[in-house]
Formats: sequence, C-alpha cells, structure tokens
Amino acid sequence: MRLSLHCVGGFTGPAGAQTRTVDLDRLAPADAARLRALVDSLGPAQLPPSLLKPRPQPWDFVYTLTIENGAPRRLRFHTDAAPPALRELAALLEAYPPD
Amino acid sequence: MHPHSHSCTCCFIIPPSMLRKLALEASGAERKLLLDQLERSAFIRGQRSARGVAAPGLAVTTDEKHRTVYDARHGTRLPGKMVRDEHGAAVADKAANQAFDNAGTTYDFYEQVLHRNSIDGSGLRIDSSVHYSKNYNNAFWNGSQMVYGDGDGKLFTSFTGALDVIAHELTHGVTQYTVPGGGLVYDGQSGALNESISDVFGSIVKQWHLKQSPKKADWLIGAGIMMPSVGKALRSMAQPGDTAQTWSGDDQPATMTGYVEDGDVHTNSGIPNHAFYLAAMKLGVNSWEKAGPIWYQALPLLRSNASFADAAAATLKAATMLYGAKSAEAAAVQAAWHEVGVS
Repeated sequence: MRLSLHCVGGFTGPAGAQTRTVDLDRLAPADAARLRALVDSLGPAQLPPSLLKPRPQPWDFVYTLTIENGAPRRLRFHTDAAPPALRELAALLEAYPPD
Repeated sequence: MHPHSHSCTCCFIIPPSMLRKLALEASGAERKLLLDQLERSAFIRGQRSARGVAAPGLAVTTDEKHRTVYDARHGTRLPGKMVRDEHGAAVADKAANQAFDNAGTTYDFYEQVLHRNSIDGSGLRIDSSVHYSKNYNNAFWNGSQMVYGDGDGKLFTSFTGALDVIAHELTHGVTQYTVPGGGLVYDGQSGALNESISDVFGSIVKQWHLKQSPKKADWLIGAGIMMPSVGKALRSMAQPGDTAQTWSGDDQPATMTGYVEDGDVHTNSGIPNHAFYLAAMKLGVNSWEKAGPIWYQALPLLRSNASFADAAAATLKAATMLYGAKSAEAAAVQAAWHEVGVS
C-alpha cells in the first residue's frame, strides 16, 4: 500500500504545496501496521471524496490523501472536518519528509 | 485616549446602517469618529458571530505593543519555547529577531497610520512561532498567532526576513476581527478577497517602512523568499501573472477576463490586488495616505461571503464616506475596479 498526502494553503498556496509519499512496504513493520490499521478503520470506500468545511478560514489547509491499494482512492479534506482516524493518519504522514 | 481603547455604548444602540448614513452626511472629525464607531461595531458583531460571546478584548486593553516569539524547534506543536518577548534583547536566532522586528513594524503601521491597536483593535498580544516543522515551505495565521517555516532550501528560503509576509499574516488576523461574521470565508471570491486584503496591507506596510511612493514601490509580494533559481517573488500586484516578475508557476489573472472558476484563493486574488494597485496609482499619493485607509474602512462594510463586486461597492462607499460622493478619490476607486472588470 502507498499513501500520499498533499497539502496546500497558507501564504504560499499552490506554490508551496508539499506532498509526502509513504510506501508501507518500505516502513518498519510497526509503523506500517499503525498506518494500515488507521486506513482500515477509516473505511475509505464509505467516506465521501470531499470532507471540506462549509466556511473555511485562512488556517484551514486543504489536504488530499491518495490511498493506492488496488484502485486508487482520493479523499479531499480540512482536518477540522475529518474523522479522528483521518486526522491522526494525516498527522503521522506529515511527520515524514516532503517528496 | 486611543480611539479603539474606549468602549462606546452607542456602538451597541445605533444600527450599522444608520452609522453609515450619519457618516456619509457628516464631515471632518465627526465623520472620522462615526467611521471608527462603525468599525468597532463591526468588530463586536464579528466577535459575537465567531465566538458566540461579546468580545473579551474590550475589557482588556493595552496601549503598548506586546510581541512574543517562540521557537517551534522544527516540530509542529505550537507555540513552542519562548525565546524573546517585548522587553527582551535581541537573541542569537536571526529568524526570531526578524519575526519580532517585522511584527513591530506592522504593529506600528496599524497604530500610527490606521489608529488601530494591534490585531484585534484592543491590544491583542502578537505571538509568532519560528522554525515550524522541517523543510516547511509556508507561513500562516492559525487564528490566534503567526507561524513561520524555514523553507526547504530548494524552492523557498526563510519567510521571516520579508516584512510583507509578516504584515500579510498579521492582516489575516485583522480581517478576522474586523469583517462582520468572523472574517472572510476562505473559499471562492471571499477567500480571494481575504488573500488580497493581506497582500494589500503587506505591500502598504512595506511601502510605508521604505517610504516609497506607488511609482517607486515594486508591488511584489514575497520578494526574496524564493531561491533565486526559482523566482524573484510569489506575486505581483502591478502585473499579476507576469512570470518574468515573479516565478514560472504564477497563474494570477489581473482582470475578470482571466478569472478562474473554482480557482485557488491565491490565484484569483490577483484581480482585487490589481484593483488596489490601480487605485493607488490613480490617487497618486503614498498608498498609506488614501488607498490604504479607504480599503481599511471598507472592511467593516463587507460580509463574510463577500464577492469582488461587494468589495468594489464597499471601497467606493468608504471612499465616499472619507472624501465625498463626487470626490476624485471615489472616482479613482470606481475606475480601478472597472478596469479589472468588476463593477
């Protein structure tokens, strides 16, 4: 499974957008298991493709999570509008260096 | 007494529409007082809407700037370790000193030129965190403080050395506290206006600091924050989308002809940015003398979902209130918006 998190917002907007890509097969088993468990708990197939706040503010960055595990699944969200598992997943992925 | 440090009961009693009407009919000092009351009234309404309670800042006012800088130590937990506050001496960390100094210049601009006491108009402490995350290509206002990355050294360098970046971020706070309803919704045209207002005051603060006329100013946003091999600046208010002035990915339109449906707020902000530039050039004097105050007085006249047309109407109304309906200033503002295709 490959996870990719794209983030855009702030002063720089698209110019400063950063993507972090993580291949679970290349991670330590414990780290991979934690990420995989979060993805499984999300039930990405059941989530709507867009979880955006109706009235975003300047601090609401737009995230796009791409899950590649067979057919790619893409979720677009603000963290405040995301379920806890998705927020935790984004926070974990943000700890990895940008591509 | 500072115009924003007293509480005024009439702000609670007289509806904004009547304050606007009275301001239009008044002149001189009385007009200024009514405009200040209108702004205060909008601030209170905005706070009620955003927080659900009366503005706590009204009870706690200070007439001094109070800056605090923190070091996030390349993590994402905010604010981080405090490294300098208002009465502390300069520290070894260059970014911390830059964040401190440029926040001070921005505070001074708002206080001396627009008679506003800090971000909320009531002496709110100005907090900044530097060294946010690792290789972080951004700066942002998080609703209560400013946050700066160091850049990745490939596309971006440090953000704290650019005064307009810091004034831009601090102005997001000003917009949040001044536009009724808790600020401009950060999406669509209201989001592009939110970005534009931050660019406008970012540029004005830089021009004020450098004592530059509109003709002398570079009108660039974020000059010096990109690696030289990538570009000179992030945006140009004089020539939005001119990649020779900015960087190869600059997709900002200058007029409504190039408006991007569902475009990013940083893209379509080129249109109101250019309207401000044109207004400042037409007015001829320093941008902080006429164009800036007009745009500032328009903030409480906006709504949280304001369109570009609403901004054109609000700035025209502000120019009318400040200078009169048949003034050259009102005509310049109207012509500027007309040139970018907004009316």
